[in-house]
Amino acid sequence: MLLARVVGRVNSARRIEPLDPFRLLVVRTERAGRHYVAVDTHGAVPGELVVTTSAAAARMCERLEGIPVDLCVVAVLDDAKVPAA
Amino acid sequence: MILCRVLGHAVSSRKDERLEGAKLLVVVEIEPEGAERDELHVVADTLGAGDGDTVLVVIGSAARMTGPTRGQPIDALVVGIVDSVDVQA
Repeated sequence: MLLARVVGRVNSARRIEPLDPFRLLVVRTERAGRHYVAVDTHGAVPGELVVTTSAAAARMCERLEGIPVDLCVVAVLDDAKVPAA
Repeated sequence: MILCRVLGHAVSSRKDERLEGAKLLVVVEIEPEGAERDELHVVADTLGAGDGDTVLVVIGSAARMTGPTRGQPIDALVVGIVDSVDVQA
């Protein structure tokens, strides 16, 4: 799992139908600063720190079983004690 | 998922028979702001993305979790054509 910050969202009207109900967030990994797009089912908003799960594990989340998703938010953190790099 | 920009089509007459009918795009990974990264991918597309489109791509077994791609030897698929990306900070 990755520790990442929500930095935005992706707007896409034409997408694979099973993805229609979900919000697509741009997240930035906390140290490396790499950007990914994650499916969100927890209402995470920009600025929040989240945990993402990737690959087949992402599809073990509630509502994501059997759909083409490879990264999702599994937890929105209230607080994380992480020393700065 | 990663954001990519479509550069063109990959055309092949000699390929695995399970790839017959698959449309393959050559894409470059991009940052949310649009800057290109140094990584090209070949991805399957069932949505009809065209050159210059920004697309959302799933990697790995997720690519095979749609009707048309089930059982195909692919590991990357366009799942969305992106209208815009809003990034704050």
